[in-house]
Amino acid sequence: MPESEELAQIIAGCKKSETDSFSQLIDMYSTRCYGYFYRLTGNSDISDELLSRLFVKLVEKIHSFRGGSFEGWLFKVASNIFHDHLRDKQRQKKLLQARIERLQEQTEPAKNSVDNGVDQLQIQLEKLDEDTRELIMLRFYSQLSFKEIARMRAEPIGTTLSKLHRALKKLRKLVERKRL
Amino acid sequence: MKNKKKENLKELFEKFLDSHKAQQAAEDINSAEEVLEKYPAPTPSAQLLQDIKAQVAATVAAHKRAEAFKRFTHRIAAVAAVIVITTFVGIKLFEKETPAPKALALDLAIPTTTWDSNNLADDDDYSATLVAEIKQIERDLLALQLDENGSNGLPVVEVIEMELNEIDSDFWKG
Repeated sequence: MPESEELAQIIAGCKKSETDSFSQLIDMYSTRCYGYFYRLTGNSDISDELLSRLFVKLVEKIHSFRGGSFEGWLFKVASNIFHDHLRDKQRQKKLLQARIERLQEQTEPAKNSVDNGVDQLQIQLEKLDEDTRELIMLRFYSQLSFKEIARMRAEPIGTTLSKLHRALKKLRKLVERKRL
Repeated sequence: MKNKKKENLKELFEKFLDSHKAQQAAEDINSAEEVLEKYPAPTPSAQLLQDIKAQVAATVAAHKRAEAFKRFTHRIAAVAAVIVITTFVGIKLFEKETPAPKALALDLAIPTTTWDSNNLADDDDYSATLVAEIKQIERDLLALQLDENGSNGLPVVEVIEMELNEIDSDFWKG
């Protein structure tokens, strides 16, 4: 069965409130969504929470999905959840504090790390501004096309392209400099 | 993570940059994405996924209950609406079939011709006769007060009595 057809069946099941279909959706997208949240927050506990919130939100929102790119829709919900999280002042404070602490203790490996390289990448990512970091993560984890990302962010494709080009170039230089 | 949506980045950039710069930009993006590939983010734990699935199942169950309740209330509302409409229509029909009250029926039994006929000319003639007769009685009463003789040699009192009788019988004849 083609992937898109399988996905369409799973979504139809979710719309009928079938628990198994939701489980399948979780299995399909949890890794990418978790990576997206982790790279944006740099914190596994917050990523755990955001991932839970995302899938619970899907139960309420799945009826509003009217076709088109499911990934685009899913990551739009994920992005909204991340922004809600940022708006939470208390959590934002904790997040910033945690970041400062991590920057000060750059040598210590973080929880859930695969290797030191992950931390290095996370450290370099945190040197980028919030919007740029989100754009990179959206591109990488949602696997959406530039056109879809531009539409999702309600900006011209040229703006998205130039922002992402600059950001990725900067990130690559930061990572390579650190390796040297 | 391999990008499923392969785009021709060079072609895309060429819409905004010259060919050489577009090629460079596309390479920059590809190589930066390779860096991201090299350092994968941590994956969610099995325990976390299990917890999320349990949480989602609970939410789905709550959702189903809420939906069932909503459907139930909609049905109740629909039945209530049908009852109200039926009752209203029934009352309206019942009102139409009920005869008029007795007092009203009596009023309606009096012929309308008693109060006014369909012929206005007749009504006016009759009124004119009555007015003329009343005036005649007035004249007779005045003659009586002045102690004059009545017409045709009859006493005035008798003449008045006759005229009143005549008016009385004319009035009831219609």
